[in-house]
Amino acid sequence: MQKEIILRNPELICASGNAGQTCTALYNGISAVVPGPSFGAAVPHAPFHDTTLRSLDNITKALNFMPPADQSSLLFIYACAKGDLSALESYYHGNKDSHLEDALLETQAKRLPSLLGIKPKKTVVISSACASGAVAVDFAREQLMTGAFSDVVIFGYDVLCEFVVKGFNCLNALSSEPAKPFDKSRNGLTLGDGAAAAHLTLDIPKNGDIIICGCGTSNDANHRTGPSRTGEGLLRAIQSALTDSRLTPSDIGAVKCHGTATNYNDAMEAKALYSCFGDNIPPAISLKGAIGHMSGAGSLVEIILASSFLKKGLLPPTIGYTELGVDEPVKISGSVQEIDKKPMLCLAAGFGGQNAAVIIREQL
Amino acid sequence: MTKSIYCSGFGAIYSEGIFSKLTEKHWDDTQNDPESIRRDQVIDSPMPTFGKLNLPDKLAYCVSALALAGNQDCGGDRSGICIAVPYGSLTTDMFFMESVLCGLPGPAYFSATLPSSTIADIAINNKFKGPDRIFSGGDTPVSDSIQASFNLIQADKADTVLFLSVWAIDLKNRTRLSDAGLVPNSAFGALFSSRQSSVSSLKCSLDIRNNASLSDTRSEYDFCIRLTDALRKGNRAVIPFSHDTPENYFEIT
Repeated sequence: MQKEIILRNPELICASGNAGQTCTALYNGISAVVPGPSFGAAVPHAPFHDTTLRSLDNITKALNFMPPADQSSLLFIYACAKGDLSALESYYHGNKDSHLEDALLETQAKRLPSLLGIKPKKTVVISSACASGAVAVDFAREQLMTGAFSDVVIFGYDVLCEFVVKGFNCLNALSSEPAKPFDKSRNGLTLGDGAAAAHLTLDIPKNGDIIICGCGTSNDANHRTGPSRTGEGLLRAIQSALTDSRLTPSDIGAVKCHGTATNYNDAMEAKALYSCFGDNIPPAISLKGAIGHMSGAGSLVEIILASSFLKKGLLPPTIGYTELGVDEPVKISGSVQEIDKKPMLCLAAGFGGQNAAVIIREQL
Repeated sequence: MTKSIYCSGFGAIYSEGIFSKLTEKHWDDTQNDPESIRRDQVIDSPMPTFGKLNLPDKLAYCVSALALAGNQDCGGDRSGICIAVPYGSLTTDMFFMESVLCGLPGPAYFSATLPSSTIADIAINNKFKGPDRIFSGGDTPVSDSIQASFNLIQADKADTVLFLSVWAIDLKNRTRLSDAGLVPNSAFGALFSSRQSSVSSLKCSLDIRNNASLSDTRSEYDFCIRLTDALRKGNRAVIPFSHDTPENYFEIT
């Protein structure tokens, strides 16, 4: 049997709790979004149950990540959009003990291996905006396939803070109601806290293993913050992931959308899906109405949750979604539904025109 | 089969001046840092300024213009960008926080507070629609970025990759950071391609053994200076990523 890239020991914490708690909440249609205010903005948000987890020390302890046993050829990737901004905010609020250097992702990346209990040969920081986690999976796959490393640990982390909430608020991107992905009345996103860690390795898969089949990335080359209006950038990422996986659109059984619930994102994503699948778009879900948009960490959190859906063969409902609000016939899950145990497509997009697609499957 | 990779253009902006395959300029008397670079020094264009571009984005934009000069056949779905931006968007983050404290959070600043913002205008203006890699720190972001550029071409995910490395913290905010180990404001860019677009394209190779002892930021800055020097001369050269790790090198063959 051929070796494959396997996702091992994934752990996450978001507003709904850990992976198991989040899956249970999602299947029961329970949202973790709470009303505002959030850092002075009158907007709903999806915070950690315990907000002291908004620190690298506390979240790494709480994740309870099991490091790989063999770390002789280990690469560590820190994947985030903004990571830990507490040092920056603290500096500007007059805390004389804070150091601006701690706001640099490279400073944070130096602390993380010991917090996670790993001794990597090398540390890399990937910051591809809200697609960071998915791009990190792509980069990890490439490193494992080329034989540069035998194991990779990815840690994704982005949390609610004044900087992020006020930033999205000044762009008028935040919804006054919990996010309604792909819905006719959607009017913006809901931010959330999130962190995840996962071990990727090249090995002969066993039954039940989740395999990273292929990945693709692209740039819209269209706008600094807004998505392409045509979806062609995301379509290129999907096609690249299909080529990488040696799969065709008909092999895909379900789609985990980026689904931010902004007008332009969801319209763009629907166009990309229709261009790829035509009238046969597989069942699709967005998680952001339930657990919020966790920026760069979100795409890793959501890939881990998608792997749980795949193993159960069940897609939860898209919380916040009632009536289709895009022009293309996207089959957004409105209730718990069975899905084929076929490969699943996970999508992400971000500022700077970033697009990423990751295809996962369960070894059967 | 391993593809041949060529460098068909480069650009560099250091405290000594501006360098590329086609030009070499030193700063004039009114300029004391790459921060004060003018648009007319790198781009033949009637536009007088860089608009709202903040320092990291501005330096990245300038070196990309230098590296892409004379390379009209790149761009499109098969052209990607790999960038090392070790200080990320810290300088822009600081401007945004100041606007927050003033009670008027600035959307233009917030839009540029991501390391991925650094490549946005380059991708838009040059229609680079292929894959990207943005390394905002880590042990060796420059060598990671060059290696990623080569890997994207070897894996047939791109035909052309614009490699960039940018160190940028504006002079006002630089004084607020501990100066120890800070790299001067500078930027380097090179266009790598699987096609030999002209006779002056230089064939290149890379040998990186990740289990070797690691480099540091200052070493990677020194590497960019040595690489600039080698590309200007255009002769065969082996350029180690650091003196401590001669087994990791870039070669002009």
